[in-house]
Amino acid sequence: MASNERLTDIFNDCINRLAQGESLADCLRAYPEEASLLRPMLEAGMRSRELLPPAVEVRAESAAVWQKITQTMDLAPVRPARRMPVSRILALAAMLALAVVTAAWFLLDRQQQQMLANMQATQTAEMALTQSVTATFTPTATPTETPSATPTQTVTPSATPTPTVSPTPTLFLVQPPTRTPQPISAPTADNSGSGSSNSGSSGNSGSSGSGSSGDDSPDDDSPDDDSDDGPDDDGGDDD
Amino acid sequence: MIVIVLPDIPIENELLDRARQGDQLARRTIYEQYFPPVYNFIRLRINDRQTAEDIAADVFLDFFRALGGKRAPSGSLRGWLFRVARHKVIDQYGANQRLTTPIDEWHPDAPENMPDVQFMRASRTERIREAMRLLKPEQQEVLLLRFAQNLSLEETADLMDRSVSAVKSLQFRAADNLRQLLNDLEREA
Repeated sequence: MASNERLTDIFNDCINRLAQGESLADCLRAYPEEASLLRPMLEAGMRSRELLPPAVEVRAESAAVWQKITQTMDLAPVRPARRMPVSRILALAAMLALAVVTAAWFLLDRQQQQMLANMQATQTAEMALTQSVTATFTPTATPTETPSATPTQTVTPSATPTPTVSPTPTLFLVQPPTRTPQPISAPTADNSGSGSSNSGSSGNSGSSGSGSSGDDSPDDDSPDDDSDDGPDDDGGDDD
Repeated sequence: MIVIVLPDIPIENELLDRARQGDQLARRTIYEQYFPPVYNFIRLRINDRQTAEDIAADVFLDFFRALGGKRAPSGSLRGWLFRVARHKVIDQYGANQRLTTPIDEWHPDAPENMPDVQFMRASRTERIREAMRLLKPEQQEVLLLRFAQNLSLEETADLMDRSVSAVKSLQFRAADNLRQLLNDLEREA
């Protein structure tokens, strides 16, 4: 195996030397032991060069192919543009219009969807905000409203004392007729006690208001009233 | 000592850069430098001269069109051109194409006008052609690439989609087989 590998390496080296222009003799001189084996093989390989086409043919083909290439490469940009048929132009225009309409519809639909999505988003955001505000502000809102409501409610109780106060002046107005009896000034002339009979005539001389009120109140003749009035009569210092 | 011959890549790269930039002189130089090996590569496999011309034109048109694009050659220009040519030949005739050009269609490069010299040369060429025809296609190809076209071992391996060591063994077997076939043919003659 090692000798075969060495032989293939030497053979390869000889091919390289021949390609570089060395002669076969020079190459084989480097490997004298293998020269007898390698020489016929290298000669056979070198004979394959005889199959190459003649130089005249290669030169002629080179010129022909170059001309073909230059013609092809030069013709490419000179080619006139083909005129497109009307039916094809119309079909293209229709396709273009359809594409534009579809694109516009798609864009509008997309915008609407975006608007709806935005509205929904704002609504949900507002709902979330209000819920959070009521939750946080309910304790602070109730105290501010209660003081403003209480003054309006305190006015109504102020109206209740007015009926209670009004009876008091009537009570004061009733009393004077009972305290100013006319016969009290009469005893200067007669002290016999005929005061009940003279009470009716006293109304003519004194104040008419007081006299009439004394006549209209039959309850004043009650024994209770008389008993109350008694000490007043005795004490004339009050007048 | 083993010497490996590599293509002159710096010159190729400079020419390629100039050709990419639209330099017509660089394009013409590349064409003049690489048309003979490319045409020979095709002609060694195609019997018809006109077909070989058309395929060679296609190869170089592809090359000039590819210069400004993504398919532009970046490594070995010769390898790129040979690969395109090989694919086009395979597309035309299949992968198992053998040398079938009859001797009467072949015009050897013989400057001598003497009939006997031409006859001797023609006889030699006919025998080598016959011997090559009896080889397997991959053995034909490796001998033509390595001996006739002077491609390096790496270029040949790249072009044939084989490893370097596989090509080394293949070329050794191919040369040995050719030697035996030539001996047999000459003995018959």
